[in-house]
Amino acid sequence: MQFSFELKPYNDFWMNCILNAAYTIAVTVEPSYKYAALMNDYRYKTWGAAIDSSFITPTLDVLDYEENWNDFILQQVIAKETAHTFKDPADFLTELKEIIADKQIIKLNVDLFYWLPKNIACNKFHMSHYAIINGFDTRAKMYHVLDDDIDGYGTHLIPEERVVEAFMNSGAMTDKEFGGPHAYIYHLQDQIVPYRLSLQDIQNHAARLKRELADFSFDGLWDIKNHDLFDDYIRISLIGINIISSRQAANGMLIQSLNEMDLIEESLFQELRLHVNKIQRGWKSIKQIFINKTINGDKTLNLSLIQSKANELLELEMNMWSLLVEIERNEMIIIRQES
Amino acid sequence: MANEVEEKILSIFKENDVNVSKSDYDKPLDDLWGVDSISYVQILADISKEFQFQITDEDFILADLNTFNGVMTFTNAKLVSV
Repeated sequence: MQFSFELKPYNDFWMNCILNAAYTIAVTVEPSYKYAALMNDYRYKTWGAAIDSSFITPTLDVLDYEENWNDFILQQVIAKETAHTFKDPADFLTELKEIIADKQIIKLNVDLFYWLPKNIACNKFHMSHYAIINGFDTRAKMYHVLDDDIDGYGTHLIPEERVVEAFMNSGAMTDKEFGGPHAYIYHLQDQIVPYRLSLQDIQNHAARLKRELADFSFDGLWDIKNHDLFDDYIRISLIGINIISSRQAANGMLIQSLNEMDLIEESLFQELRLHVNKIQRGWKSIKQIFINKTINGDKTLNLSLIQSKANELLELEMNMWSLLVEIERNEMIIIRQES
Repeated sequence: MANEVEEKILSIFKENDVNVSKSDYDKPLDDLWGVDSISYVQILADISKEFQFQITDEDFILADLNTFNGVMTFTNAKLVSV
């Protein structure tokens, strides 16, 4: 196998395909960036389903990486991504292999319908996305890919004919409205400064989350009206639920890191841990409800129960972030008392 | 009867490629080799099918289904109520 760059997949938790790919590169190059991934720089949001914009589901998104890369943490490792158009798309493999042989890290537009057997879209629905291809074996006609499926973000070996089929059917190749290029190439910074987890940054985000969560609600979400498409709505819902559930795993790791680095007192660590464990269990149970619908064929959802549970978890999360914000406030009180 | 339930649940875990020994009975099921979010729910679905009861949305939220012992207790309770 000839590699452009041997990459260790970032799989501590799943954010989305773009971020797990970016953190894969960052953490391979400079391991301290594994702590950057844990930063609570996210926001809850809702989105309408592509198949039905009136079906609204929750998810959460990391700040800045999409619209403001220069302000994003990983800009310190990945300077930019440049769009790449193959000179001869019908013979894109030749150029793809040249790029990989030239040690450049490339991500290719592919249709997930044809891509990874254990991806939820495979043979079910069409969805374009970009997957890192960082190696090829000409004799075996296999390509080394980093991408996610139900097992998480990992490495996969894909036969050449499937790479061709997935690319030829991708949005970049088939849809004039798609708007994205055939591929992107990552460009790393010349000098990479190791990352240092900052309690102040975490507190700033905690204060922001506390404000935002007070205005967020799960009421009205996951409301399936068209039962003919019930299974599709469940699968779409699971995307967001999985992201939220994964983020709670990250919050657990963040709290653990704060304790290991002695950035917080033991008593606060224990209290935060209690909160995050409850939140993790709660989101896991919501995820299990939705997964169960894909397995047992039941087409009913106890929506009020699920919405109520999700709102309860939101409040727990708000309280958890309040605990971190309160450190600063309590320290100020002590300083004022001492002076 | 209790042993039959335990044996049957053990065999369902095994059919889903998860081997459970007695020392695992109180461990979180997530920590057992072969258990991921999908196989976990599949195992519960297979148990409910085998013993002919339904696992409701409320059960996922309220019941203790996190350990093998928890699943056994839950199953026995469902069998009593059927």
